[in-house]
Amino acid sequence: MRRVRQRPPMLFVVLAILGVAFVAVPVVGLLFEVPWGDLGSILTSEIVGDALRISLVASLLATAIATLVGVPIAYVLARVEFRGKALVRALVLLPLVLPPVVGGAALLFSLGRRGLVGGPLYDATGLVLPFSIWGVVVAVTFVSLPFMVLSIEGALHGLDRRFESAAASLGATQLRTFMRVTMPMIMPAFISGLALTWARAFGEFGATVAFAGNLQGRTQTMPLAVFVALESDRGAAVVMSLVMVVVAVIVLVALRDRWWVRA
Amino acid sequence: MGIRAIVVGVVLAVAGVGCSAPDDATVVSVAASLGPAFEELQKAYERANPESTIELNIAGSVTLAEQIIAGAPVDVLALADMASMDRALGSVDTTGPAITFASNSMVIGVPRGNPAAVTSLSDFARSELFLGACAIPVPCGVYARQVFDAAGVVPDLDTQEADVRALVVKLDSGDLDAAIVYATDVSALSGIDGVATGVDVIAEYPIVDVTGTPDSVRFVEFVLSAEGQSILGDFGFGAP
Repeated sequence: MRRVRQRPPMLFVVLAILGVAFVAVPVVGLLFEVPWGDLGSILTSEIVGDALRISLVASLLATAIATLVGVPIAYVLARVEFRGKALVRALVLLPLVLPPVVGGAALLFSLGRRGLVGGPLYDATGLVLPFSIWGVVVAVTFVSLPFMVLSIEGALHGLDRRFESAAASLGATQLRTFMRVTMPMIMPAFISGLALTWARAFGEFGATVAFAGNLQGRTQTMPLAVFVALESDRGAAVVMSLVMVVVAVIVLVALRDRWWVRA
Repeated sequence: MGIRAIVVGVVLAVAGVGCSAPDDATVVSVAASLGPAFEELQKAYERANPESTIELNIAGSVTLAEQIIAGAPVDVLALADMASMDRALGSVDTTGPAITFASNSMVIGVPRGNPAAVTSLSDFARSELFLGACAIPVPCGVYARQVFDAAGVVPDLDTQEADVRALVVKLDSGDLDAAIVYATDVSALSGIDGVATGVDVIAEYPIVDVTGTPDSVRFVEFVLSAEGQSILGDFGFGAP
């Protein structure tokens, strides 16, 4: 069937152009600040390599953890009726509203070495989360988890449940039905959930610096390295920001081309 | 209709924000570590000069220097280190020279009760302890480096924080065993104790009158006066 080409409302076109320009102008401004002559030496410096490695490891681990627990949370919120559900949903989404630094401080007081949970954990196992890569993973997971929950829950609400019923009537268990029938149907939402969660984790600053600290090669992520460099070496800060922009664009475009369109 | 109402509302709100600052206020950019003391100075000054309004712009010294270099309208600039002040003065014309108006010293901050029994700078070489300082470009990080160098200690740091408050929070929570902080950070309020470093590193705080308006001249004079100095003393700052 031939698709009818629709003319979009003029007002939308104008507002959309303004909106894109609003995002594009600062990025272009960044490009003008790049010291192209020093690009090579800054890119190959140890600081950038260390920070990029820690950022990628922490953000990918956070995305994996957010998937592992975020999808079940979304499932329970969308499909199970229980008292206090509104409160649980608000709690899970709280990191969206909380200033990240506050979230990081809250993590410190709860999961720190003398914290509510962190104290007994340290006494029992000797494990210390702050000042380690695990502290970075905890901080960025805390901040990015709501994006996965929101994406999946919204998709589950909008789903035609007759296919699930059919699978169940053919004898599939609920878990099998979810994995084989439900997940493929909500794949676009899952992919966008992955993208949002990863992007938020990759760019996280406040909770990381408050909970995990800042040490090159151990806890210093790209945003932290940029922040410290802003105070000493503007050129390096701009180049590292450019690296973040490029990595983010590559990941987000790849995600879309690989799965989104097909799904 | 609905969209138009929203657009008009947003435009009016933005315009309103733009006009909210009184034009005759004297803007004082002040380093984060001086913030609480300057809030008291501001109150005392405005009590003595009811017709004047002081607006405080509180941030890290490096950030404040960046702001003024980028053209931020500032009448008085008070920073935590001479290097940032020199950078600001390098690209901005001021009516007077920078004057040192207060001093501070560096101490070893420890959680209340000093659970790790830190007694001297040499404890900063103990790898089993959790140790911190500010990052190098930040004034408190530069001073910390001077402290370690003077004592001949190579510190085994677990974190280099972007500002001194981040260190104080982690000391207060007990996650850091020790960190190099300002003497003014050690107080009942912050929940941390101080241990002497045994070396003499003094932080000097410079102030400069940028615009030379009657109010900015008077405010700088007030900071340097006996009353101003006594308020700074209440917050633990030493004489220049």
